[in-house]
Amino acid sequence: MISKKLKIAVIDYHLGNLFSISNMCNNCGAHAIITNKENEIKTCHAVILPGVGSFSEAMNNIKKLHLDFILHDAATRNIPIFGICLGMQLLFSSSEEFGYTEGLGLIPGEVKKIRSINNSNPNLKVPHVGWNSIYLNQKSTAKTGSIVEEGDCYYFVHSFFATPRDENDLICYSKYYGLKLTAAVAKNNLFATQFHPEKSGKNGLRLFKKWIIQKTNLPL
Amino acid sequence: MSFTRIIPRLDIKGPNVVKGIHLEGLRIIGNPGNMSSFYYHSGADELFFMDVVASLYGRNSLLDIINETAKNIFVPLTVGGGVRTLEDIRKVLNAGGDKVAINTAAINNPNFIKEASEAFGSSTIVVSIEAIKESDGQYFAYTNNGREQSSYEVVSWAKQAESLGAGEIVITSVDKEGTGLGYDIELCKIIHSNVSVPVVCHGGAQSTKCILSLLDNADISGISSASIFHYHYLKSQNVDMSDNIRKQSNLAGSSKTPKRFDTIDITKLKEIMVANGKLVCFH
Repeated sequence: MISKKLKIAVIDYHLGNLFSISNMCNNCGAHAIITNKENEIKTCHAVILPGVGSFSEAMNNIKKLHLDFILHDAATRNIPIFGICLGMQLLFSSSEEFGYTEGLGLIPGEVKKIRSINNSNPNLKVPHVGWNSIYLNQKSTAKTGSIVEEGDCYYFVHSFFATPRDENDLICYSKYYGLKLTAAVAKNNLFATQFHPEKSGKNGLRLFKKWIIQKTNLPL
Repeated sequence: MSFTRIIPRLDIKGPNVVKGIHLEGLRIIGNPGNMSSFYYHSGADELFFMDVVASLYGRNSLLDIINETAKNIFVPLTVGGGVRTLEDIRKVLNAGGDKVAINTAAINNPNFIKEASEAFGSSTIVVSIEAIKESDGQYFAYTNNGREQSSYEVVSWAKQAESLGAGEIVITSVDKEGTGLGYDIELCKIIHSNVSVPVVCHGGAQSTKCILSLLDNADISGISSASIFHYHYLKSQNVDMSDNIRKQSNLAGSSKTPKRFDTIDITKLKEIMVANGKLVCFH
């Protein structure tokens, strides 16, 4: 039983399924605090950056709320940060949505449209939606790799994909009609998934618990 | 390669899950919470709640149901039926829903699709098309629970919906829905091959075999059904099946014979799909 004192800040920048993510936290024995206030975030052991929707709208909201500084500060203080879906993409350097939009720059790399890849398979529908398996990047030495296992099934829904410049940051990828799409990344105390652990049933809950245990060193 | 999602559809009226044939003649199947939990633990990939009353009255009970479901069910939940405004969408999402399905509101004002997808993201907005085949072989989109014909031929409407920002299309064969006569494969294929967003097929599922047959014909993104899963749910609750079939035929009219549905366990269905190369990952 994970300590109920574990507090996780679920960042509210007005985009994302905060309710589902809070449910996941509570179900795993943690206490979720939906917030965008610096003083509240600083009282938490860990941070989740959620997100559904537009990268540029997200970055606009994040900047208006000074969350870019707050998240950079948390990263510097080695606070575990879990990015989900758009929340993962925002950690990167930039997105080609609307040409070019700057991201948080915590993980070097770019976010691109799935549709822009040269692939003539008519079955390739965008967004990439549904349950898909993940395959480990065997070359990565990131310790967070053990949180995911080869062949695990998770729920994806995304029209853009992120590519880390440092291959060591790539933990695993999904395969979609001949494409390899980044599924999870890790760098220092950052961990992020393209898929939605809060929508991936028992697999997602298990992964999230493993992350809590590994990253927060709180006892079982 | 296949990522076909299995999506049980629950028609909700007040506090109950109901089922009808040809969108008329409703009977109570069970409690939404119990059924959602049953399907979730059986391996459902997503759930679809359709508000069959689709009016402003009683909407709060649906929001409560969504909220309760979202607390315990960790798969995506789509909600449709009477979603007319951005505020309706916001309420569903705040209650814990992940996607909304819009039909009538989109046909009456196609620009609503654009507004909704800009406000909430394309992947949140599903356009639901209810199709009836006309005498000349063309399919037309219907509104108001299959009662009113729109002027939209379904393929051009699906393409228009996609261009306006719909992130997914659910295509329902009104002719086949609730009949157990098999999916309308021609309909599903033609929508799937004409749009580049994911397509979910609904209406007519009768057996595992007919699902595999549909997937042999088109690599569709999802299949949705009510009857085949509900009958399995009822069976699991030890409800006398012959009694149900009798009741169903009473509702539909005594001249109608009860329709034969296989009762389908989602887990077993997915095992068969994997064995037939129709499913990549199994959870």
